[in-house]
Amino acid sequence: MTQILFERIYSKLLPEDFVGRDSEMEFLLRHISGKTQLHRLLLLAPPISGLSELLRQTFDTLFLSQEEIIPIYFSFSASQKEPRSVGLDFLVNFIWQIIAFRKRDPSLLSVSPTYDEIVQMLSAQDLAWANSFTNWIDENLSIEVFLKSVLSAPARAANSGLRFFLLVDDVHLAEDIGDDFLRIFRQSLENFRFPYVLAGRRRELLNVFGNEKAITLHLNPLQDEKVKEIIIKCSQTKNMKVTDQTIDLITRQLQGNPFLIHMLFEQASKTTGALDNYKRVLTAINEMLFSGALGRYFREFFDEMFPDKSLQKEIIKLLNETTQNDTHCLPFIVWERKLKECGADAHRLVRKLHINEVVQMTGANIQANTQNFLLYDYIESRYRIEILSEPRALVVGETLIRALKRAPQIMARFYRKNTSIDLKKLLTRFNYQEVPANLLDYGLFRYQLNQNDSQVLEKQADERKAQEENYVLPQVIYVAETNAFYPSVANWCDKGYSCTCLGLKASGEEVGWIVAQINSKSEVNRNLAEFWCDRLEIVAFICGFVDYKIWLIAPESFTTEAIELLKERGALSSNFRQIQMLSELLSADDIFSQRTNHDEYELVLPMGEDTELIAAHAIEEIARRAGFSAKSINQIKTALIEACINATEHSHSPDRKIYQQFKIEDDKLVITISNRGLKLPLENLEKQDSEGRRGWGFKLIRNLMDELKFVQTDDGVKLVMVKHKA
Amino acid sequence: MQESKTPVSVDFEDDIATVHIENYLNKPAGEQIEKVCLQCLNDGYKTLILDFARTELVNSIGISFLLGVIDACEKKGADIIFSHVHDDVLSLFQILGITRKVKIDFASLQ
Repeated sequence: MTQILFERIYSKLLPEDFVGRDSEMEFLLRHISGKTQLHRLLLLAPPISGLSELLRQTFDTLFLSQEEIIPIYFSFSASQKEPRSVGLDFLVNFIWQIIAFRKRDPSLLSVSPTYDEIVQMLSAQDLAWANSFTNWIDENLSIEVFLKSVLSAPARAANSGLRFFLLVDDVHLAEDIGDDFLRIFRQSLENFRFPYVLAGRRRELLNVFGNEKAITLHLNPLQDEKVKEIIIKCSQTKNMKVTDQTIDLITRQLQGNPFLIHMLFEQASKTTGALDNYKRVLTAINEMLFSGALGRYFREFFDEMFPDKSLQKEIIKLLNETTQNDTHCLPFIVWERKLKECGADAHRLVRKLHINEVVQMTGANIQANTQNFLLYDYIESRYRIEILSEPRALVVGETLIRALKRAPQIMARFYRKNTSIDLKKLLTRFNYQEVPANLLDYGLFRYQLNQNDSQVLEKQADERKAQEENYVLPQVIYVAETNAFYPSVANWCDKGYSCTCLGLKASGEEVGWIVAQINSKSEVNRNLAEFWCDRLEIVAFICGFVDYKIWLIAPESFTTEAIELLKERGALSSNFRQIQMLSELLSADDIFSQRTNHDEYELVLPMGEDTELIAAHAIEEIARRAGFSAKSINQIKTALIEACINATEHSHSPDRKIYQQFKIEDDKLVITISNRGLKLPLENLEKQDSEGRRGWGFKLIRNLMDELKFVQTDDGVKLVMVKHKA
Repeated sequence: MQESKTPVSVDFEDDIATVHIENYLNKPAGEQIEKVCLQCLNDGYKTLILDFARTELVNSIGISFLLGVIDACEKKGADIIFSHVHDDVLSLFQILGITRKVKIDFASLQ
């Protein structure tokens, strides 16, 4: 194979820096095989999600790593709206990328060719289908014939046996191209009998192509672990300090967006230097917004959507007004009236905002997407500076202060979410199962736990009857967050804490379930239960549910008075223990999002003064809980003591500390001991053996543990020991 | 007569010195054992019994001092016996080959 000395062509990041999208890229590459009957793959994403980079990385991978399938990448542009030039651009790109691939020369892709160059460089293989391409672009052709002609180039190439993979990016922008471009483009696609990808804003693509046959791939937000990997990688590249706390904050503030994370580190490298506390992180983000790349990005974002500056100003004003409202919502007629004064088509403009996820059109209302608080900080600051003419310095300072005040709240929501139940997941498992009634009735559950409770003894007879009964769950057809049904819920309930579902009872009647998780550290009392029942009943009323069920879930318990009230109101009640049991019955063990990992422990000990005994006592308790035998526990303790002694004696550690991690994995205990200090040659450590009266430590560890591994770190040594359960 | 000095204590009977070792045989305990045992040998005791009844944890540094005691006994022609050794500790002595150099009072084993 021809060697190409290029690491990237269209992609912005080096392949090793493109983290977290392996499975999506694999999915795209699998699509090339064309084994499926469906040629079209719809790749859907919200704005700034790294979608274009995924396509560009896929293009580069295909271009640089193989010689069979020709990758073709084309992106619609907001600035190019003249249909004839878009069509021409599509054709030239298509042919030129084929030429560059055939010649194995990526450098060709950085130049714009002339027609003569294209004709001159076409290979004999391609002349068969492309020799008449100058006829296709005859300026005398009508626009419809012209577009049909140029957009059919891929179909002609495929018919001649050419194997290629077409990646079309930013397809949502095709709607803005005049002369019915989108209609002709869609017609051309019908003749595409080869694998291709249409990528762009999810709301628009679903709207335009949602009813047509296609494989659909949603580009979901990156998992926190992947985001952490990106942040750590950036911090290493920029040699910039971050902490566990700031990694979490960056992840939440930038919503795990790799594009913004790279932007932040770029900004911080010029200003704050380190990102090791909240203030530094938020200062750097504020600078990104007011004098850096993020501000420029948002400005371009609005310029692309609304090139008319006075109209853009009006939109900013309306967006600010919408977000300042308690419910972050304004009726569409308010928007329509104000935009009419500017002579604009409100429907079209709001649709643009909707597609770009700045707002959500919910029936007659426009709902601001305040989850994207960076965007709304930008909108508010523009409103204050450009419309209210407030001093810029004041706006910059106050935005930073607000971000600092908001950060703990954002983190608190994150921490709470981490210990909450995935209600949506739980409800989607409901499918007419019969479950013990006590799992949905805390009073009954408590009675069974404590039959001596004097307050429930009197009701024993009734309760016993109920015990024998099962509860038949409905079949859940549709579930969404309750705020999607009734936006005001957001005022008293965090996202993810309440879900509403529509379903069918076994009898075939429709039923609505409105479920809320109460975030209470102590027992839920009558007042709190009443507060929730009142509000959830409003939701039922708003939704027009004739038959509905309210279900309250609390981490711990409900008071007797609360249980009585719930009974009066016909509401269901469960605590986390009941939910755990229910989830096991429904095979929904994964509903507890990121519960504390009880199998992982960390200990940092000062060196010397027999502190290894503290570690030995800790590991004894951990291993005992994990079910290790007494003999194994003694072996583990001795090995750990030896590891600590070794760290103390040989490391010359500057902080005189031993970092220990104990992890229970399935049937084994993994102990990691690390310290800062001298980097002892690994081979010396591994071969170290008894010489005279000393140096027996590793001989003992090797004999007592099942696995032993040394790892060099930047500043010291790490020892990993594993013991399996006998 | 009993000489008590943490982490080691000694009993004497005829020409036998019994050294009782406390819970954790580490460097300070090892140093103490070596010192006490050498003193006993110098005082003419012909048999040293190291009593591990209370010893549940040992480390390699502590063990290394036992080698010093074993060497000294060899030189003086004295006997050295390990008694009441816990199974886990005994297996460590076996790993390090110490059990080949001393007599183990198996009858006392726990």
